Amino acid sequence: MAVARRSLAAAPGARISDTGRWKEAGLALLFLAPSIVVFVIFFYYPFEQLVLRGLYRNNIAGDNLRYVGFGQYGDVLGGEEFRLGIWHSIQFLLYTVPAGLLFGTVLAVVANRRLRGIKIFQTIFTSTVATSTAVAGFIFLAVLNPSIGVVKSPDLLSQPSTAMFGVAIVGMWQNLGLSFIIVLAGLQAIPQEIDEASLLDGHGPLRRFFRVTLPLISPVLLFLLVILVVNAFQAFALIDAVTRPAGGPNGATETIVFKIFENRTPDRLGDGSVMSVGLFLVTFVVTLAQFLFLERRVHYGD
Amino acid sequence: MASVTFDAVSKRYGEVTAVDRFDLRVNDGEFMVLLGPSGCGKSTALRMVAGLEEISAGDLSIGDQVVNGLPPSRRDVAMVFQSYALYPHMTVAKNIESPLLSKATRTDDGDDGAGGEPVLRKLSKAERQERIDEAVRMLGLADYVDRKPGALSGGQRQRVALARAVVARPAVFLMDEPLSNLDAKLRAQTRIELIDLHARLRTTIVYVTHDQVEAMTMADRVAIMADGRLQQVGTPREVYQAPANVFVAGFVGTPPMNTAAGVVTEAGIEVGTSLLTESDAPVGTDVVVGIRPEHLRFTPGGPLRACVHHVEWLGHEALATVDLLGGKVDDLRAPLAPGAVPGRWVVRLSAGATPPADGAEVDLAVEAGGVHLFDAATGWRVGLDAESAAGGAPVEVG
Repeated sequence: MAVARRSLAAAPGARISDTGRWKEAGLALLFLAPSIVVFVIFFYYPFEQLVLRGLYRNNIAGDNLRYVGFGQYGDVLGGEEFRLGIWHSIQFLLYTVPAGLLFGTVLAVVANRRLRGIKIFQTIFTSTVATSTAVAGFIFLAVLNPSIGVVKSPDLLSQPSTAMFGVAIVGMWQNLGLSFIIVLAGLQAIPQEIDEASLLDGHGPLRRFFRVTLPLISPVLLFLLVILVVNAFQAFALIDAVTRPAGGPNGATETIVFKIFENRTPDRLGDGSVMSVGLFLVTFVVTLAQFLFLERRVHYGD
Repeated sequence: MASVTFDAVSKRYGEVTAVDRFDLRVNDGEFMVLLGPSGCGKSTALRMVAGLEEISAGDLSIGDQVVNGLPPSRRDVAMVFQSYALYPHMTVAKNIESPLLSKATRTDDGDDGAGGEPVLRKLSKAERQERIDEAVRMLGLADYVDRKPGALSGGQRQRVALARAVVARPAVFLMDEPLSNLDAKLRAQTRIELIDLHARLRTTIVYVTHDQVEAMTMADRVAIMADGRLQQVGTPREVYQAPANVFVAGFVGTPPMNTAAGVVTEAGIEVGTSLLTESDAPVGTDVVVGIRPEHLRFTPGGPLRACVHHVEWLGHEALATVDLLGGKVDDLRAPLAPGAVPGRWVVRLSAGATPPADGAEVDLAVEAGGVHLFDAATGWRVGLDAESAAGGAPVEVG
């Protein structure tokens, strides 16, 4: 900018010269350099290695690397294991994402008032963010324990049909803090005068929520949706912590990341790499779709 | 249509008193401006009428009804906010329709032309559309009904906010600094439109501003507030020509009234070593003398002697700043106007007059009737007290 302004000042009325533009581009590149370096080292390069690794197969010792080509992508991505992993991830997502949006919004609306001591509740609701997955898992193992737990029966985690739901409860609880913070921030960004105008217009609490509040926090909800979906696709530590054997009875809670984790032995690195790339593609497409289909229905105000 | 009556209304936030025993009657159909510096409690007073602030003490009535406990939607008022508070996700038409959706709306049903009471009820969809069209026509918004507020200029948003206020034909309009986000030119234009709107609808308006030009040009009556208390209520002419106390004298008028400490003697009013004409105030009273800039003249042999500090030429007039000479001159307005130099006065000259040179020593005379006297101890106009001024008693025009 500074460069452009100087060249303008040098020749009043003239357009920015080409040298000015090149200088500007160089300056922009300079400013971008730190993030470019970080992205290249920690994202682009590993990702490229991952994609290439998916083209090879090797033996149990990790050597005898041989090229098998894109056929391996077809085999793995079309295979039963990948499909099952994705299906389990989607189940987890269907439990945790709507619940995260709903509970986060309800808690935030309830806690978004000017009351004495409300900060205490806001802190409590936020605390699940600061709880490590291992601790959360431990707490819920106790809560859901069939003999000593708060919820004694049925034993959610040991039945193949209910294990995913049991795991999802922990996930919902863990998401609560994040959802709460994000929605509360959205609510607090609504100008007080707009709330008051709605009050003067005579809208009751429900109408006010659906006509005014919800549209005004819709960008925040879209953001939260995307975050929760990505979180759900990446769920692993939680499932590992609360299921015995890890992955749940009959592998009922083996999400896609779980499958990738199981494919970490040297002889299966190729399969694991392909699945990782597959997960990336699924997440990418789903996120893109969310933006494409929902962005138009979101009100960004002015 | 309705009057609005504050009867000893107070608002306290813990230890802080924002509005203190405020008494004011806004007559049916009146354009009342609450004027005062920021933090004087005027917005709080307005928000209490709207029902957005609870009333700590006293009674607030709209018409004959005490509304202290009524929710905003049942007070039959509409409010225009400083930020306009339009719903950013709705079109102009939807914004205007909003007040018609949830609450009972004034209709012509009972109005038989013989003073029948209008009926309040929910409107049908067709009736709502009719009302929207009417408001859109009134505010000249026909080209913008399908736009969203983000695509409108400040002035257009202002009109949408006004349309949303008029659409339900409420008994009272409440306006909280509605012009402060507009540029100077648009503000002047909108002032006139508001006056026209009021002339047409004759709806009671309570209008809050810190801008005395808005107050003077639009108000039927002005209520001037400071520190949560009513200082004076009267027509713009009354508060200008006969300010009830030193605060009003210093607040209304640009530049404000010149003031200086004086004492009433047999011979007249002594200001420093100068002597102004006689007054009927009791001899021996310590007073604050107030003189409007336009009531001072450069007259050789005049009673006040001054040194010209500088002259501002403004085209249609010139303002000469002078320092009074002749003894120590205290300016009792000083605590109210931090930074004011005691004894530094302003003289207003017409465009045709030849201004004196900077640094020249001049004599000043005061036009007949141009001297205002305030009690130095209380700050109130001599012959007035807080009770009679705040009670809205007629103030003699000096």
